[in-house]
Formats: sequence, structure tokens, C-alpha cells
Amino acid sequence: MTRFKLAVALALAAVPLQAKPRTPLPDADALVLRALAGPATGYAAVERVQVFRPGQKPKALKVNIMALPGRVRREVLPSKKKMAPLVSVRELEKAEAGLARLRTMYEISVSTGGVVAKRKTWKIELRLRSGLLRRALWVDRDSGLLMKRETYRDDGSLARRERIVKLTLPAPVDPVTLKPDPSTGPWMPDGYVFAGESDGARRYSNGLESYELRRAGSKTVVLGDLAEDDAARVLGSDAK
Amino acid sequence: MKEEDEARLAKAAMKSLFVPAPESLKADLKRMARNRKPTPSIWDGLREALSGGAWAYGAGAAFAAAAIGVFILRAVPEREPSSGVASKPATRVEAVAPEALAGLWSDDDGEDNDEI
Repeated sequence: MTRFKLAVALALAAVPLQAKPRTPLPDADALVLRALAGPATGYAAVERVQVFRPGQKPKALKVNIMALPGRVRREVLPSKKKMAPLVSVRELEKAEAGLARLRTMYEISVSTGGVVAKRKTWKIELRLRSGLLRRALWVDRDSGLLMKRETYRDDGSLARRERIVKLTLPAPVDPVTLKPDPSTGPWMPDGYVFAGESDGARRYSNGLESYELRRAGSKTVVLGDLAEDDAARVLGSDAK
Repeated sequence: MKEEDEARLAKAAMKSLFVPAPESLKADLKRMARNRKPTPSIWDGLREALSGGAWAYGAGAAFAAAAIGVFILRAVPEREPSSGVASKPATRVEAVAPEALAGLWSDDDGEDNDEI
């Protein structure tokens, strides 16, 4: 081995030694709790929601978000100027209750998540007991804010993506604009509204997707385009 | 001499043109000024109208009671008959047509690289 080759071999061997040690992965439960609780400061964000339906063009809408710890205001901006924005203000669910619900139906795992809206994230995967990936969440490493969420169908295809495209954190937020809406019936996922009642079934829709609450004997069931955790939350809030 | 005559003549002409005012004119003007009352203001008229008499009080009270009754009936939502069992407060949810919500969505390229 010549001196040159020896020098190159030593230089190549030194590269891994110079590399920064990897940040250890956080505990899955602790990360989910952080994501459900949200940041400890106010923030403002623009979110893009995309819906993918088989055989059809993807559809999207834009949401302006303003939040304080424990409370979120979402303003869905219409694509047509004539329409009024759809505004909702909600108090966040207790993080422990949310984690308990997710734990009953999903296996939770954590991995590195890349960069979303210029922020480093952790990725959380929620898999059904069968191993089917139902949701993937990208959580900001610093603040715990949920930056991106994807929902998948049973065949593994992407059904829905919600992603923050612009974020100001921390941001001054006027608490007056975050007066929560009065509670009207069971909990609904973001963007859904009550669309009517017929044949004993209450229908809810976001304009593209829908679900209904139907009485089946002594029980109430949820039918439609909802992931298992959302359906469980709807049922839980309806029973109260 | 001639100038003095002319001045005298002019004076005499002026005297002949002057007609003394009748004695009664001054008294008439004074009487007119005394009789002229100031124009009543809107508030005076309103006060007078409100204090018109007992019947006006009754009509006013009836009108006010009717107005308050209509206001209360409109402002307070209808209550459901009590069943004797404590229940959740009634909430009315207006249904929104899904077609109206469809206008919130627009066509998309499906990409996820549009960060601002």
C-alpha cells in the first residue's frame, strides 16, 4: 500500500467518526401526548388539506389557523370569493384521553420524519393490529405541533393529507378571537358540519366526505369516511 | 334774497308733503307685539301631547306593555315541556347542505411541495 492509498483510507475511515451522534428517538407515548396537547405558546399557521378519491382529481382547501394553548381557531377559506369562510373555535381534548383512545386501536411507532414547513419533525405511525398503516403524523421536534397528517385507506392508498405550509411560532394571538363555539351535539372532525337527519340517521359532511350516526338496536354506529380513532371519538361524545 | 325765498318754498313744500302718523298706529303696534306668542318648540309639543290627559297615559302604558311582551316572546326561545328529569340544555343545530360546502374545495395537483 502506497502512502497515498493509506492517507485516503485513513481519511475515509475518519468520516464516520466526525459525524454527529444521532438524536435518540423520543418515547412514542410522550411524543403523542405532546402532539395532542399542542405548543405551549400561541401560533398562527396556514394549513392545506388535500383529499384523494379513487379515480377522481385530488381536491384541496386552505385553512387559516390561530391558536393559544388548549384552543384552536380554524378558518376554512372558500375557493369562491362569494362564499363566507367556515370558522370554528375548539378546545383541545385532554391529551391523556386522546392517547388512551389511540392506544386501544393502534400500534404506535416513532421514526425520523424529515422537514415540514422548515421544521425538523418526528414521524409517528399508527397501525391497526392487523399491521395496516392507517395514519402517519409528523410532529415538530421543538414545539410538539402536529405539522402534517396523512390518512390511508385499507388498500394502503393515500386518502387525505393535512399539512402546515406556513407557520409563525410563537405568534401573538388575541384571546377574544378564540371564544369557543357552543357545544352542539357530538364531536365532529375538523371541517365537518351537520348536514341533516333522515330515517333516524344524522349525517355529517365536509363537502366531499361524509359519515352518519345511525341507531342500530340499542347501539349507535358510525358509517362513512372516518378513521377508526375519529369514529370512536364521535361515538364517545355522542354517548355523553 | 332769491335764495332765501327758494329755501322757504322748499320747506313749505316739505311740510305740505309730511302726513302725521295716526294716533292709533303706535297703540296698534304695541298691542300686536304683546299678543305675539313665541313659537312652541317640538319638545313642548311632545310634552303637551304626553300629558294630554288620563286616556293618553292609559294608551301609552298599553303600547309599552305590548312592545315589551313582543320583545320577550321573540328573545326567549321556546322551552320544552319539563319531564321532571334533568336533561341537557336544548341545542338547535342548523343543517348545512353538502353542496354548499363543496364550494370550499378546488382542484389540486396532489403534490406536497407548496410550502410558503
